[in-house]
Amino acid sequence: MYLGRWKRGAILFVTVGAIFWAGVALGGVMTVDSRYESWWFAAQSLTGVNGLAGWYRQEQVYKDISSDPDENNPLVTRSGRPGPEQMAVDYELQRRGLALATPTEGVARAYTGVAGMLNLLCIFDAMMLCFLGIRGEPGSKNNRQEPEKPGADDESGERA
Amino acid sequence: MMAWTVFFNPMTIPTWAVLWLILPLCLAVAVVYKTIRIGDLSKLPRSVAVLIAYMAGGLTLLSVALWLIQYCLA
Repeated sequence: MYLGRWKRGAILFVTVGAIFWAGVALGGVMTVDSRYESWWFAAQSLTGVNGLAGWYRQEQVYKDISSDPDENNPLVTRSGRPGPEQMAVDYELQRRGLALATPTEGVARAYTGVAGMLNLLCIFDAMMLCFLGIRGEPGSKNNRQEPEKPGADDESGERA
Repeated sequence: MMAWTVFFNPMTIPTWAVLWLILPLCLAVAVVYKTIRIGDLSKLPRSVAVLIAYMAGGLTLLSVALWLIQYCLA
């Protein structure tokens, strides 16, 4: 909106949001997994509020798992040996029907990760337009460059 | 049987359907890229369609080439 390109902004907002939530619809709540899929999470978090919502939802699941008093919960009964936590979490996610498996895992994470990378592209483009002082749609009144005054280069050259 | 909830439980995708799910991804990439690059927004649908065709064609050619390579090596 600041750049005066609200139509493009709306298209990008809807597209990035749609592809991210399509990925979450495919992969479920654990598509965004900040604990064990940190690289994917880095890409997913670039979607901004969408990634934040995804992160919050998976954190709720992790909190729910760790506070489950069920005696079968491996996080409660685990032996404490090094490295069993991820296996325990995987077991618990599987038990609850939340674990991601191939090929859904790859598709869901690709959708959400690509959404984040596309959003990064949009952010980069908007920043460049902002730094260059370009506003409005191409060809609009705001975006037209003023014709250079004759001799302007000579004048600046003299000053230099 | 456990209740399935959209946005919460993962879907079961058949293996044959995975390749078709590339098309929505290509659509999203094409829309975002062309929305940024194009000058006149009225030309957006056509540009997006052309770019999707390019991407789908390129991926098809690449997959055929890779399949031929592994076929010849095997």
